[in-house]
Amino acid sequence: MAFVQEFAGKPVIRLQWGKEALFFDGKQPVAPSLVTLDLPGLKGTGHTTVSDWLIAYHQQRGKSGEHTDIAEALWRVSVLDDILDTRNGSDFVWHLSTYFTLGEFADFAVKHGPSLIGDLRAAIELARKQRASALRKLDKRVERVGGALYAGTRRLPFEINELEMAEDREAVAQLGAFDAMRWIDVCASLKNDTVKRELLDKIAAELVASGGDLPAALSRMIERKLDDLYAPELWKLLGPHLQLPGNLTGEAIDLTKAREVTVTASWHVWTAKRVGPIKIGRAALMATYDKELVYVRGERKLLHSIRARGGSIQRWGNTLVVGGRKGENTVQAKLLEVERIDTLAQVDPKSAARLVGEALPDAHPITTALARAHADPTWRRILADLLIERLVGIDADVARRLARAQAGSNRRSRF
Amino acid sequence: MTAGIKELKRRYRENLALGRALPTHDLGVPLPLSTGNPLFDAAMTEKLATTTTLDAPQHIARAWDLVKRASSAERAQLAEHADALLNDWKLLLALRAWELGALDELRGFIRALPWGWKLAFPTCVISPGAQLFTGWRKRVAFRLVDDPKFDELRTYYHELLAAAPGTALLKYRSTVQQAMALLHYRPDGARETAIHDLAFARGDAVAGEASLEPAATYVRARDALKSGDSTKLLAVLEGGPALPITSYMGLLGSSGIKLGGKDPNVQALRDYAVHCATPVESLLRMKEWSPWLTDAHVAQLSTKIRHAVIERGFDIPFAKVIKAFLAAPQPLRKRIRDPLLVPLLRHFGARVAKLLPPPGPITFVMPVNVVHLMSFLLYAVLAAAAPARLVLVKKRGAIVKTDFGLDQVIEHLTDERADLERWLLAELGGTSTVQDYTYDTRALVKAIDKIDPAAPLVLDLPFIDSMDILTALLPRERVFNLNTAFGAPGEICVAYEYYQQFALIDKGWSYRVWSRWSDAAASRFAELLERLGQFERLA
Repeated sequence: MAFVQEFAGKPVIRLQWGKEALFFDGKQPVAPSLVTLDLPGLKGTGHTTVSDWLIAYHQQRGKSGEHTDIAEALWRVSVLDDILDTRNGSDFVWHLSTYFTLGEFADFAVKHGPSLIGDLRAAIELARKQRASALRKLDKRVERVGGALYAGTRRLPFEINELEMAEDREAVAQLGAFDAMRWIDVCASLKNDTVKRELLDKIAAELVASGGDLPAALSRMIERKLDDLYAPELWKLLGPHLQLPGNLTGEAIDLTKAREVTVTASWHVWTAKRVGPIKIGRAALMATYDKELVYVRGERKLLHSIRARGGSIQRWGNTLVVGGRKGENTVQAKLLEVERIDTLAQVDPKSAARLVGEALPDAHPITTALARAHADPTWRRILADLLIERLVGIDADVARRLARAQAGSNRRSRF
Repeated sequence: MTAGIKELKRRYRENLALGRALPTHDLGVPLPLSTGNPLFDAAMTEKLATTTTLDAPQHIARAWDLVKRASSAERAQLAEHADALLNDWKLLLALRAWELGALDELRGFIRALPWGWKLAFPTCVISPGAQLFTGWRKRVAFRLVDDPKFDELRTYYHELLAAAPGTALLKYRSTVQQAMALLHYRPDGARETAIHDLAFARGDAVAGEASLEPAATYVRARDALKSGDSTKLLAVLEGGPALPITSYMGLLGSSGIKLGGKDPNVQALRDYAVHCATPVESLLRMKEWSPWLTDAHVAQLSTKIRHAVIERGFDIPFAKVIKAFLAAPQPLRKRIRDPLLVPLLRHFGARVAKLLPPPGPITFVMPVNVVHLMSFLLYAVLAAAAPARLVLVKKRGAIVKTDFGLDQVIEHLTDERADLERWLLAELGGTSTVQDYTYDTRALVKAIDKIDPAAPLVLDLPFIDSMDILTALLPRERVFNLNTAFGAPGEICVAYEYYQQFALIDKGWSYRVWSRWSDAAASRFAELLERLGQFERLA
């Protein structure tokens, strides 16, 4: 037996990994499919054995050179019974559910199941001395028949799915002219998630093409509980056309633990609380507010600005806070300080050293590092490490790594 | 006498060991080459942006230290080769020249910078963070040059503004605004007053300044579009100087007009976009514009790019051309293949061939069964311009082909997978159907041994590590590997991209599935050769 694949638009079979494909001569099988080769006298199932057999076959029929094409007379579409008597039938047991119908599995079970059970019973009932050899004789049959029956159990959900999909697709085919609300209602009534997803994608494409009311359509989808469906294509289509205005005002939002993210269109972003207008594909800060995620327009630099202005600012009708009552001692607040120290130590070591807030003795490591930082820039990193250790207390290298991870979106390059 | 890859690599390894060079993962241009002078190397390879282990401030501190230590002879040599340096470094070297009062040197570096950077020079003197950093760091107050010499800087800015074309002043008006604000700049004369007005106000004063076109057209267009009527906009634009595409798209965007939308004048608006885009911008926007580009647009864009690159010698990196081509949807690829890609490929081949001086021929080695189209294209492009041969390695044996040319490959650049496979099957036979990365290393070594050690060798053999091949590569002078390097002294890894799709690993066993995307390798090849030439000139 062999799988039929496609190469250069033609059906081929590959008998072994890393070997050449074999093409068909004359009538061509469908790809993908399962075929059975009838090569009398074949000694093995490897590529070389089969190729040699085919070359000899063609030469006997007067063809010169080495031809390995599979002639029409040498193959047929596989039937389920083939797994019992083909040399390599066991290799295909796992894939049978893809190629055979539930009806074929049922026929196979009726034909081979009872006789196998009978033979098994007979073997089990033999005296202990003969039992092992009797069971061994049944080993290959059990493996293949049992495997085929198991494949039938996997075919069952597949066919249920197929039937539901066909039924749903018929309903979709009768939808008629585009009417967003009606199509959404039909979508919610479908049984199969794949077809639902297909229809949602179609609705999205139509909404974009016709300049339809996206917020109203999305609200209807949520109302019809379609928002629990994973629909990436829907958001890919709608994303560039979505307006995401702010929908939260008059609140105090603690951004100390906010993380910079690149906003991607999703049900989650659409239904989230938003401070200021959010743009798909741009950076925003993601924070927790009232146990819910909130998106705040801005990048990580907004956190530094808030901090520089005493810890809070008014923006988009809300009070944005960094390092508030709860956030002062968080790692996130400390990471902002780490970034500041690290930057100042590199570009302005004196200002960085002043952050200590007191005069240090001449022999202090920070004083020494500052003195050497002017002549040798490698000492600036050492100065930063010492300052971070003294002022923040987190391992400097760990802190730098964490700080980078907090600004996932802001990796712009100016080149 | 040029230094050659072996010598440049040796110098890099030495400098790396001494801590004078950064590891390649901290280099913006990750080349393990050194002229022997850390300043020269850094100015060509170290971008001042965050890398694997260094943040932007650390790069800047290191770079400024190197620049400050540079001798006048070193600075003079760099000024002579300013075009080969990264823009950040040109700017830092210009800053140093400013600090030292070396005005001729300053002008040399500034001349090599794009206008956006030139106009930001005062900003960089007074508040370097605003120009060199991104994000919150832009506001970090520090200076690299202790005394900005404000009066002299204002005088120099007069000089810069006088030379600046209207297009640059329009595109970079916020840069001009920032620089003028930091300088407390008082505009001198009608032209500067108009520039000041353009930067700080509505720009109405540019109307009377012909030298500031297309700024005046832009202002009129903006006013015409106030009502949202694109007919008035088009009337202003007709016959006037072309606006920069960014300004034009900005005008449309602020009025809610989309080129893919349903404005009654959308066709004319699209025509203008195609008309005003520069060659590079045309390439960058090809994918975005693909849904509405007509045959006339394609012809216009192709002529524009061909004219700029082939006739005027404008240097658009080959990588940009290939990226734009690959990013375009399949139907557009077919339409731009002959008018745009083919002439550029031939031009690129001729240019790159010049960077690979004799002895030849250039030999390409790749597996017969897993032909990578971009590597294949690279071979074909070079084969069209210089003697070249192809060594196709099989599971058993290797075929040397010299009769495969650009014309055969070009036809298949826009093929669907099945068509490409059909062609490979016809050209290379049944081995092209094998899905395996097993090579006959003995046959390959034999083939390599027959090639002149001084001739260039390009290797594209994925998923192989062989000491036999390494042995064969040891005496060779110029080996360009489009995959992971074998480690020969004369070998340089161009680029490689492998992605792990799946892995199962335990203590004593592992199973991994990889996919390979080395498209960048072929397109970076030209960039590498150009850099190599620059290293050799400065070594």
